[in-house]
Amino acid sequence: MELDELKILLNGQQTQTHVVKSAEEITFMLTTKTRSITGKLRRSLRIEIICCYAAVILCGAAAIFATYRSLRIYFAVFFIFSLLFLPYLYSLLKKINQFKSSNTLPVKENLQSLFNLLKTFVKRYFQITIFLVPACLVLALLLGYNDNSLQGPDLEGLLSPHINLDTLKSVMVIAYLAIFSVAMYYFTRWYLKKLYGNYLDQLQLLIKELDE
Amino acid sequence: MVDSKEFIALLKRHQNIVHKVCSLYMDNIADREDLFQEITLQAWNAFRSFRGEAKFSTWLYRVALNTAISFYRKEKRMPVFTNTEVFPEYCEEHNPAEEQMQAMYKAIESLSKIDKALLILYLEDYSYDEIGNMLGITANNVAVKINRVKTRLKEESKKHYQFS
Repeated sequence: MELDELKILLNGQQTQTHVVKSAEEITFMLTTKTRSITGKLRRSLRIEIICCYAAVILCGAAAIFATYRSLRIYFAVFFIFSLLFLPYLYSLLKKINQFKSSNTLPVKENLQSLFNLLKTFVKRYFQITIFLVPACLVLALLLGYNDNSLQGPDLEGLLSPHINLDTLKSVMVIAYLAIFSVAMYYFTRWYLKKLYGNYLDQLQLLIKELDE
Repeated sequence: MVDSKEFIALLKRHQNIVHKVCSLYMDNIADREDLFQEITLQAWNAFRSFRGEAKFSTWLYRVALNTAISFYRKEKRMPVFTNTEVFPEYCEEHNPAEEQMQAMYKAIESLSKIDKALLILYLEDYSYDEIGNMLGITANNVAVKINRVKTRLKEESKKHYQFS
């Protein structure tokens, strides 16, 4: 059978095989939660905005009330970071909200907009995470190192006299920084790929198919 | 303020379009219900931009196809049901014409999301220009793709018909 034969056959039969939805059912559907990827992004951004407000409050409070000077500086820096991050999150949310009516665009244009939006979101998310991890660690180490009021455990007696304690500390700190940063890099990449990567690949394939 | 009553009345009248798209893109009832709900929501969100320049049915096709094509669900380990809702179901009696038709439906299931969109619009008698406008490609590109779909369906349905 060929497609045109099927077309003629289908046009000849006006059989209704589905269950007709009532006005009440349609009304109910309008109140339900969306399952679209932009809906997912919107929810995720709203949670991040709430977390960011919580970080502003907690870091602000810690910057004022922390006992150690180094901790006050540390939290003050992240209080400023969180404050600066808020308008950025709002701008992303605005972009996603503007996307709401893009379903009326031609399919190719809609797919391209969705792909660009998602790619920007994933890229920024990755950049921020990758920047924040070493920034937190380096800042914490610098401040801790310079804070004379902080005292760590006395290790002198536990080590062999041939090992220099300062060298050992430096090696451990560098190794910790390197391992943690590399692990975070791969974890973030894996996590974003798991969340949005496969979908991005699928969108790219669809756009390519339309171009062919 | 957008009138929800007007939207509901229009959607109720044209729900056949949404059902067709859901049946074409989803192979089980639960997924079809999910997609129906999502298309309804997306259409409602976009309804404020509907100016009545195009027919509501054409506008709804565009929203429904955009939603169905970009609808993402994680692969679930569920049994695949044969799609009998998108096209009429036939009895088990041996009838070559009906078997050929069933083979054609199976072949349609194997098409890509874009090809399914082309197919449904072609079956609805939209012109190549209109299909091109909806998909964002040229009428020439539509013609080429439709020809490819026809050839593919012919070959695929032959395979299914041989096995049945």
